[in-house]
Amino acid sequence: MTGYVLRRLLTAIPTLFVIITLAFFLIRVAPGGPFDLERPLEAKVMENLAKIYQIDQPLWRQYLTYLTNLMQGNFGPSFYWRDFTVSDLFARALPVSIKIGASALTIALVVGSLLGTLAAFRQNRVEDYAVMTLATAGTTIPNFVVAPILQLTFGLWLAWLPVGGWNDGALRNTVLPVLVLSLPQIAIVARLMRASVIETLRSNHIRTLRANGLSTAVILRHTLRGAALPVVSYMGPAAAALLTGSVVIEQIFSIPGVGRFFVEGALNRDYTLVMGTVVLIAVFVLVFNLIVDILYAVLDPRVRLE
Amino acid sequence: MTAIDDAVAATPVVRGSSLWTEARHRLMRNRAAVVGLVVLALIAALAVIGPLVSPHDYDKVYSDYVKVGPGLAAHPSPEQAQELARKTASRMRAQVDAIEPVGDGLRISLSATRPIDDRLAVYFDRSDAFANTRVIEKADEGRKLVIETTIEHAYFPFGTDANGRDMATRILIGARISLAIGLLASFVALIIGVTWGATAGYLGGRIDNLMMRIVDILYSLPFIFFVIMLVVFFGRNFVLMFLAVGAVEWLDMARIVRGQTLSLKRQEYVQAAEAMGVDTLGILKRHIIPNTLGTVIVFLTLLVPRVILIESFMSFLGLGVQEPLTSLGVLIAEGAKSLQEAPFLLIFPSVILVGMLFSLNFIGDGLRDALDPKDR
Repeated sequence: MTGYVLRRLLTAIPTLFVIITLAFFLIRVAPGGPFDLERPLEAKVMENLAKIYQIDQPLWRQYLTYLTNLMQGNFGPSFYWRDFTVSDLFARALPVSIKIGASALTIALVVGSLLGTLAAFRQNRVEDYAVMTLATAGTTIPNFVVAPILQLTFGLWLAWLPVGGWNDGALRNTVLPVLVLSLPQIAIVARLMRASVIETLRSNHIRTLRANGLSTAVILRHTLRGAALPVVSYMGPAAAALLTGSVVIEQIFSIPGVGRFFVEGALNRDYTLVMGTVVLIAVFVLVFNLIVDILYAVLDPRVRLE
Repeated sequence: MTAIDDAVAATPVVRGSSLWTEARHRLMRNRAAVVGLVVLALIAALAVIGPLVSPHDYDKVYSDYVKVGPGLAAHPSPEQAQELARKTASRMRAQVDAIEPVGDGLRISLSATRPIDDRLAVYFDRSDAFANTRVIEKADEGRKLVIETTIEHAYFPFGTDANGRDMATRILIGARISLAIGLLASFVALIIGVTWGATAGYLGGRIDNLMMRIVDILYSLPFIFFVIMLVVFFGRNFVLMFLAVGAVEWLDMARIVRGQTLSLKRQEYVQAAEAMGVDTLGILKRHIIPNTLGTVIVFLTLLVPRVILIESFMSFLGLGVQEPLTSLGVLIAEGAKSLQEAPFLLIFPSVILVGMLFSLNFIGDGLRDALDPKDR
């Protein structure tokens, strides 16, 4: 097991390396630079800035410097937020994104699995149709439509919840963003769960349990274990995406998370910030894919880690 | 002519139903898919024809009618017309003594302490509400003026936006842009993905490995990063943008087509073609690509709504279509900004977008069920 995890982590390094290299050169070839303002800075100032941030050096040397720093866990200084290093920015923003993402993830798993299982056990009845209608709506209606409508309803008309803002993560401020973030996930999990529970219910071992006259609770337990597999494999990438922040949600609810760094960083040519975000997301994706594979082996004894 | 030829000619032609005819029948029995088709056709027709027949241009600004609510009533209303007349008069530095309706116009008596230049009456014509303004009476050395003007009625069934532009026309133009981007980007993805996937799958071996490794690497780059980089490269250009989105979305297509090709190339008819010396390009064009079409079409119908969503999402972030041109994403973003005073600015474009996405998804699901050979 430990050997497997270590080996997986080792094979992740080349992938990560390719991603970093590609992203590094892609953003550097993009026209414009981090210090381009509407009114150009004085030549001397530009020169000094370039020297401080080491962008006057040849590209391959900058690349090597970046890699060396990265290996020591140093993401470098932000080009745009001049007083912060990228690590500082992440240290502030990542907990916010993780809090919202993890809440949404938990809700999606619990509610989605419940709804999906219910729909599967009541296949082709009212409950099933209701869940599937909800699921279709959840996956089709984009979050930047849902979010303003919820703001309108709960923030302005009913005035129960604040329209936006973070307020140090007060519960009142997190309700709407978490809800908006979790709705499409609930829908997807419910769909996956319904399909796989229906399939598992038809499998031989469940039929045997039924033939032996076991109670619904026992059947349910055995079904869920087998049926959880597709959901688990979906949740890997989904978790990585949710925990690293959603641009739209953070923008609509003005939440200081990681999601906005990507767009802002790329537009401001904040090279280090964009690179940092790429690395962060890539690491999350790799780690969660690993977790999924381990969970797979735990849930399904036929899967062997090798 | 031999006897055999005669016999062949004499046999009545039995028309078997092809795969496509059967699929069409199955699709037509799927109620959700048919409703989706109808709704989508309706929206598409409106988006193409609507802006042409609309009395308003999508970028015409009616500065007198900012954020007018939706409704069938004509603008300006009688009260609003009087108010606008007063406002215009004050711009002429004149006082309104009396306003009386004359036919479909107004007769306005103005007075001022100094003589009024009657050329200033064009102020009325410049307003969106009045036209054909003419001076009919002048008295007191021009200090008193009676003018007559016709009221220009305008209709905004869906209201106007924060700049006073007709929402109905803007929504239709937005739907047109969103649909166009969806279709064209999907088409780009289709061309690249099918060619790439079919080539990799058919050639196999080291070339396949290399080509699919490239796909894997591109796949592992965060998607938003890719799109933003492309926007940064090409600027905010509508045509280049859908090329960019298509250039990102072909990866899935390539994987699907490759998988299909791998199983297709072991079929007897492909081997027969190989044995007869048909070249690779010919086999790809004649046998491989046509046989992957079923899967590809299903994927395409699900790709179009995805591209529309991506476009809306980018426009929402301000990276997409630029003013005065608009798309549903831009309209929704603007609507979200004036949520409090004018919720309809958000609701109408959202309804159209959601309707479009629903129809496309239903059609895609219906097609999948119709073309899936396992269902037969």
